[in-house]
Amino acid sequence: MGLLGWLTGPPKEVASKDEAKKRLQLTIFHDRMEVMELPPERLNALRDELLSVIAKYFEVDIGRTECTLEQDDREVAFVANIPVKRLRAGG
Amino acid sequence: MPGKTILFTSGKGGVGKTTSTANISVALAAQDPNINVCMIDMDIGLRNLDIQLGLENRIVYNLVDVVEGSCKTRQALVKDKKLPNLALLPAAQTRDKTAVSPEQMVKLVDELREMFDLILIDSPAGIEQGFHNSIAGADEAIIITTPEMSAVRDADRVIGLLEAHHKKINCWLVINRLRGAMIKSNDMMSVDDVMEILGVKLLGVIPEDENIIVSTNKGEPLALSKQVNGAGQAYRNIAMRLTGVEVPLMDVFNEKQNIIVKQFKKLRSLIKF
Repeated sequence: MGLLGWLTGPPKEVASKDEAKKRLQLTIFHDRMEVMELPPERLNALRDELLSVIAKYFEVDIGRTECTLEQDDREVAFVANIPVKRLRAGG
Repeated sequence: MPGKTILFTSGKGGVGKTTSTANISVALAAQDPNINVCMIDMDIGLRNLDIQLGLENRIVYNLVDVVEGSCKTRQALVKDKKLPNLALLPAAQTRDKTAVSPEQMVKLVDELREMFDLILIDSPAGIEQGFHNSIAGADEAIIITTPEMSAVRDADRVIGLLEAHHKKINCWLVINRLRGAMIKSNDMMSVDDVMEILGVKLLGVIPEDENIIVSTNKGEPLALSKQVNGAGQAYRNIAMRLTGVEVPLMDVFNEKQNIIVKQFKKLRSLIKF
């Protein structure tokens, strides 16, 4: 670190408030999940059960299936994105 | 028309619940002599609202005495020193939160609704019995927070509990102790950051102001001072918004004037020696 380095000072760190906000958003998200009594294992169980039902009617692409909880203001939504390959023949 | 009750709560302690209750109450009573305002200190065992208002020497009976029937409600009410339309129902200092129940609070608050237009309830910190007693009779809630992680997290929890208790309760947010310089240097979350996380309506913002300490020392809420900027004005703005007057949000970055005033005070103290 020469004269130029001395002039520009140490490299800029991530703003501490951005770090706080990120940590807080994650913490609060988990707090809300816990309050709603839905730990991650339950969420996985829900996804598997949901897929087993849907698989009766559609042939689905399990590898590209995404299930998440999304937050919008004070509401949490369960969002499932399940790509359908084809319709199963009705019985 | 029966009076309206507004709860002041935060979850976390030390964010300014009692200071805000005192200042907003005096500002409400001062702006309209025809509005009768009552404050209830719900922090049984750790009362402090009396100190903020300089009324600590005038307490005879308290909230627990009223609930237990040891005195009439009117006997326990302490009139403010300056504002005849403002009264305090003090907490008991030698009892604990279990001395009253939510049902008793609903009954007491209903009695006060007949005597006052506005009833401001200062909830204790925490989410235990004292909190449940406080929310029992509340029509609206003001959540006080600061731009710190633990205060915001606790505020979120409290908002969740309020919504669970009373689905349609009107929740307002007050962000206290904002430091313009730190927000500018990205070392403190801004009003927008906090709003984005909590997602409730904003009622007001209050800048960090050391005059709050001075006014508490004197037992005279800062909202009654002639201060044109800073926390006193911010509290007066909130009181106006509560009565339906539209006031723009205070600019917490406007610290220039404070610096000039500080320098002047420094100079004056030097001359005195």
